[in-house]
Amino acid sequence: MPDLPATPQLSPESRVSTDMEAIASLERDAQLMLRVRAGDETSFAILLDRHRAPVVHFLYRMVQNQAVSEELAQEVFLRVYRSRASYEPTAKFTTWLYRIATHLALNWIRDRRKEKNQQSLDVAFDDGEGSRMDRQVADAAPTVEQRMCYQDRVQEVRAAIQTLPDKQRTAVLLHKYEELGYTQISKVLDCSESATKSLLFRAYETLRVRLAHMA
Amino acid sequence: MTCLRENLNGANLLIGYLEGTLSSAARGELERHASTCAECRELLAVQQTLVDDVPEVSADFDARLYARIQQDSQNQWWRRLLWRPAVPLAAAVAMMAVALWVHPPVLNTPSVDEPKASVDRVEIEQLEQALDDVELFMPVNTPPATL
Repeated sequence: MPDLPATPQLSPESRVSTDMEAIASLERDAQLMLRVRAGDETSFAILLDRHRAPVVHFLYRMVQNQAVSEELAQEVFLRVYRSRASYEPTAKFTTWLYRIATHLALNWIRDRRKEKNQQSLDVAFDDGEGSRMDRQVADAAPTVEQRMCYQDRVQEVRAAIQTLPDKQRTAVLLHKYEELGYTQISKVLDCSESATKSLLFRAYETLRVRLAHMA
Repeated sequence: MTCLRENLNGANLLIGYLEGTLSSAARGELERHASTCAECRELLAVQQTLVDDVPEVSADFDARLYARIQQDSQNQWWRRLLWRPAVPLAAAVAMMAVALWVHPPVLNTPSVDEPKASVDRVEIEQLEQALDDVELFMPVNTPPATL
């Protein structure tokens, strides 16, 4: 039987240095997450500090409610912490992070939509005039003077974004405000890169038409 | 160049332009077209119209999160303990051990080390005994056939 080449036996020191080299080649967030996996709480605090505001703001743009956006963001970071033991840096950390955030936001929006539908059904069967009045929403169309104000422009943009289908809205928010590339967005949304480009194109085209007067 | 909306490669061109990954030649061609086409000009500038203003994150966000993490860790510990497959298995084994100790089973099996010859001898003796029993039931006053 021919002699097989001996498997190189790494000393504990050289194994640690190899691991450290592998970790050093990873992105900063993945390095931090691997340290969290090893039990380093400080690294979790650093990750939280880096991503707290972007995640809360992304969720705020998705759900348009500050309390809910913070509640959902807490759930995102809780899930990150809970999954620390099984974390493997197979994708960018932010891809994973926004995937969780998107999943939670879309679930919340879906549940909210169901509740609203139920409410509208209740109203349809409600004979009381007063309750109908209570549920009336103020006219969101801004006047010419109001359009001059920045806050009204913001409201108009938000309203336009809210009318987009869920996937288009998510893609635009990640692309424009979180500055994720289409490759990363395709991983967050679990669709092909060409489909993501098409999604973004349709979303921007819809927004262009709706917001043309603001350009 | 045709308008982005009518161009089969329109999505690639727009996203490439917005992400700054287009070649300088393609970018130049697109910008030349946009200078004469209002719709494409608006499309290239669409991101600039998306102004937004978001509220500050609450000051107690981290404190609330760490409280939730602590609470969750405690819940996880109990859940892991209850759902770990080894725990119910160990409980079942312990219960069986107690049951066996309280009511040990009575096993009536032959001794393994008994020699086979003695077994044979016992069988012959049993046969002889059975024949003797049969003779006992035979009528006593029957004369022998030869007499």
